[in-house]
Amino acid sequence: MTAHPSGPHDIGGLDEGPIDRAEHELTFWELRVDAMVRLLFKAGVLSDFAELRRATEALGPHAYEALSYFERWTAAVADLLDEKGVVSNEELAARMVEIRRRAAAP
Amino acid sequence: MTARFAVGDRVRIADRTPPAHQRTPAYVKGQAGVVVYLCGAEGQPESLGHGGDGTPPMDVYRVRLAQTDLWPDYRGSRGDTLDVEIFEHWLDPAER
Amino acid sequence: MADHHHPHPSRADDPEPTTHHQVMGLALRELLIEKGIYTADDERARIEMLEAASPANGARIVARAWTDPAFKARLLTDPNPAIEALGLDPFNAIHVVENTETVHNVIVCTLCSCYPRQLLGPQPAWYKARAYRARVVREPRQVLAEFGTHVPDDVVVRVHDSTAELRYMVLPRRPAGTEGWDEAALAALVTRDSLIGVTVPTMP
Repeated sequence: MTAHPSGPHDIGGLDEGPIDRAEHELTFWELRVDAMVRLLFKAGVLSDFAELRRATEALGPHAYEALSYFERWTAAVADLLDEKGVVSNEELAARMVEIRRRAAAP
Repeated sequence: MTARFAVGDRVRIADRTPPAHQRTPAYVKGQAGVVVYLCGAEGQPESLGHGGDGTPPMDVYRVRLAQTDLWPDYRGSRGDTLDVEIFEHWLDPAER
Repeated sequence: MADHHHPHPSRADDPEPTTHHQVMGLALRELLIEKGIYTADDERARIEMLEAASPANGARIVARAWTDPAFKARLLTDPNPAIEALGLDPFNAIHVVENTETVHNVIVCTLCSCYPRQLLGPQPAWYKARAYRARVVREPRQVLAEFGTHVPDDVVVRVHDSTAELRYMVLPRRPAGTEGWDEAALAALVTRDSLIGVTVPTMP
């Protein structure tokens, strides 16, 4: 390989250890994120899967490694929705605070 | 629009890394192989990834590479191959 | 809003989402529903669709191909209409690669995790993870061996890196000793992993 990887996702051929073959059934949260992404395409808010891939790849090496698959999608969707003016970062942050407060309420 | 390459043509995958979303993995860049299948035309990822409409659509080719070309230290059989789908704007004709 | 805490019947014992990104996902969902981009019913329908997709679909296709040569020919040359004729919706353009006496196929998407989900259900976690994506293109025989699959030296191992819009499925070889078996019995031999190509169907 002479070319540099185009991002943290471009990993074909790199040295890695054994494959963790443990099965994982998708959680309800993961299913909801999956549904959200597909419905954003259906609604035309996201134009093409390439857009979601670009936003995922742009999260940077640290986030790409640290986050789970559906956490990466979530972060990428948040960036895209802010970029498109659908949900601003401020609005999202405020709602996250509200959800935390709701969860802490007795 | 007619496809530039045909099944059996030998092609080389461009060795470049534009600062854009792309679907050409680094490990195949610069490699030469043989077209084994024409997948049809698709929107260009470099445009689609950044909110563009992907036009003009580009033909996509399945290119077969020899594993022993890809990896000098390949541990397998000499006939083992890797097939990868590459957009036409990433391919140049290669010598036989 | 009652919908905020709406446990899914089959997922009641899921851990409560608490990480930063999990809360972010919940917040996005709420805001998108409030903005009318989609409804909770849309979400429910979509989740049901996701949960309905399973490797049983792929197994049905394989069992038919093993028993009906005309179907198999169509499946290999023009897969989508052949699959639709079984009442399945492949959703993406599909390409079926056939394992033979001389070729063993295995599928990967090194750049993300492209996968024929309508035919195989959700990707296994390992298919999306770094080790499989990085290694199977470089040392496929060693990776296959980790899955218990030992491909003879005189059989070509052909890795397919799924980088564009086609989604790949392996048509495995029919195990010896299954002559006369009906489609349902044959389909039961076909596992998800054999449709990806990391294993081969075996007799029970």
